[in-house]
Amino acid sequence: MPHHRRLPSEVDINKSVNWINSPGVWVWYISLIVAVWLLTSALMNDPGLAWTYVHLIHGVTTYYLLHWTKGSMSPGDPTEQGMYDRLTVWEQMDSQIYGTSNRKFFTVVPIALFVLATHGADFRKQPLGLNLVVVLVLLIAKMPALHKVRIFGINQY
Amino acid sequence: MAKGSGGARASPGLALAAVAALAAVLLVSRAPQPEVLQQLKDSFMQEDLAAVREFLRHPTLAKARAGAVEFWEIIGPGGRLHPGWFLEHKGHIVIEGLLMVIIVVMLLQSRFYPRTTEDEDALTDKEIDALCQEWEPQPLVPDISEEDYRPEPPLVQSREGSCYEVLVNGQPALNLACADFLGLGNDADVQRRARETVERYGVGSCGPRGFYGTFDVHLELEKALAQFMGQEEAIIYSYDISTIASVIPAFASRQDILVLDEGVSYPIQQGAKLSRARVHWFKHNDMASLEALLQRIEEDERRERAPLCRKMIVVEGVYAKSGDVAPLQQLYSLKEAYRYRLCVEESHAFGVMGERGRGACEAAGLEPGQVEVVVASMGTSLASVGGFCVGHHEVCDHQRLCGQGYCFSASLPPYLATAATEALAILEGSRGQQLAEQVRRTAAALRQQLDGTPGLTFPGGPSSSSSSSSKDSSSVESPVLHLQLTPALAAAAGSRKAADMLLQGVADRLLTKHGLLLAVPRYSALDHVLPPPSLKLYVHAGLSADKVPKVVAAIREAVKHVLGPLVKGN
Repeated sequence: MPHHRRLPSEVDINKSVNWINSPGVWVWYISLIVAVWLLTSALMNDPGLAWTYVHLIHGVTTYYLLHWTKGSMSPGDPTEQGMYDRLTVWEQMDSQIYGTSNRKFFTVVPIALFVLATHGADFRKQPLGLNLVVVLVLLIAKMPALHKVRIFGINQY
Repeated sequence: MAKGSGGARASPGLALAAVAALAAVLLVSRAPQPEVLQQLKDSFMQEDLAAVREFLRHPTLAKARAGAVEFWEIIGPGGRLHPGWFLEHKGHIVIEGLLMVIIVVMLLQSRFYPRTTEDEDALTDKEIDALCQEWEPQPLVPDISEEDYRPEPPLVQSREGSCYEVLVNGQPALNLACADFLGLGNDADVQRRARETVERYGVGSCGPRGFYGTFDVHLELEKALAQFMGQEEAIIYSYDISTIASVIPAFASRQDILVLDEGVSYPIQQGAKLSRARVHWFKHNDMASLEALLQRIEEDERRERAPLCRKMIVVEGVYAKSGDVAPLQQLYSLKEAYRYRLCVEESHAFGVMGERGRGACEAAGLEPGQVEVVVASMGTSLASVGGFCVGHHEVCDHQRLCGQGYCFSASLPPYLATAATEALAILEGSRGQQLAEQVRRTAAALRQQLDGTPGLTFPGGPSSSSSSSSKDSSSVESPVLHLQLTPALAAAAGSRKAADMLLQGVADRLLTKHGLLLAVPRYSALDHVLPPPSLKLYVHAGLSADKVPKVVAAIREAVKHVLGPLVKGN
């Protein structure tokens, strides 16, 4: 249902997240994941199972960085004056609009990693339940229904 | 990320280290070497080992272990409920199909604002249509309602000699609505100096302080003010009511807390609004209410684990809307206890209150520097235009870039700066000190002699009921006197307009019959708390000791004439 609100301005002044709209960020992100996969598969000699580790590391890291840490990346800068102190990075992204291509990309990446992890190695060798839990937690955290929702008041302030 | 917020106060670096450790554990998840195990076993004391074995043989623990083993036999690989069957028979396709469906649905979504709980009462389309149907255009400037209408104020046509003798509506009168407390606007030296400055620099300064608008006379005035107030530095603004409205936003922003007295004047309220800070109000001059408020704020902060923010209390030395003095000693001890800054606006106290005329802070016994920010107008005792702020070097230096009125307004015209410097020199000298002393004594005498006029009450009087007056005798010396209607009379009058009209009647009678010009103050509709309707009288150097009995008699007569019938009726 369309909301009768003003359209957001084209310029996002939120310095914590407007770099995500720069060109090349998606490629950089994917290459980061691929680089970590190369490293782990070199250390373990099992490229298939390495995807599981990449998926888990990616899950934990992105959960912390996107859905746990709140506020501005430059707390001394007076431009925002604490406007975003209660919002996680995921909520601040794209001027708090959902359904943008950025958000779609960042939602598809954990799913793609999950598929790679489950297909990479025989399901008897890998912690399948853990993979599933991680991808479900990430998907639920990115849902618009959980915008500004803090379950049991965890991480509210 | 904002440090100190969130339950886990780990920095990203620490988190990455933890992730690295986890990865290391996963990668190196092999059982320890047998030699290592042997070493561990040997290093244990034999008694400890026996105690541990005894603990492990505990019956409850054994039962728990048996239960866990049974559970794993069912759920784990090979068990009845293990997802193995599901997976053996290509069950993974179901999960992947589900994920594909989720991806496709998501990719087909368009952009939207998420619905938060605050949106619950957004209007539906039908309601919006209905509202649009009913809408009728209103005039841009609505007519003044009867209730807001007030008659024209008296027109001062000319000065006759001193600024205190004026011609109003064709009638000579003593101007008791003039805030030039020491009469320095009349002073020949001040006027001569101003004339000389006009001949030297012209009239305007043609620029803000940061762009060719700083003259040596500005720096001279700032130095003189700082030296007079015993502070490190001073900064001057070119418009007196925008001084405090610039100082407050310079020291408070969206994340900060401001605590304001309810009786502060409109410029202070505007400054607080402009700062976007969270504003809290406490009852006028009520220290108990202030302390309760400060405690409540502290508790809220502790509960929310909010990051440290700036906190400031803003009061006036002598309140322009009520004429009483703030209990500054108690305020000082409270602000020290709760670690707040204090900002005191001394426009109506500067030049009058205190031993040397430094203001209400000095009168309350505070040392210079104990109050962080002191602001005053130069339009009162200094008989000039503009305002100033004194304080530590950091306080003033910060305002040179963050004081909006300083950076973005033209600087004070040089002749007004020299006039103020000259007036300050006079104030510092013996004549100024005598005048200040005289004003204080006159104010006290006036209050004492007007006390008990039927129908009138005023804050700061000997018999007034303000909560701080018992301890603070300096309220009787304040040069701003508001003659308010007693509550009974105000109630009898009915509306505020009726009360104002009554007081206007008193003022008119005082003007026509007794040659005294007093004002009925008019307040903005946006004012936070309106004071009771009053007649305002400024005590100044033109009200010499011999004139006091005449003024008192005049006021009593006018009050009796206009308000008498109402008072008797009660």
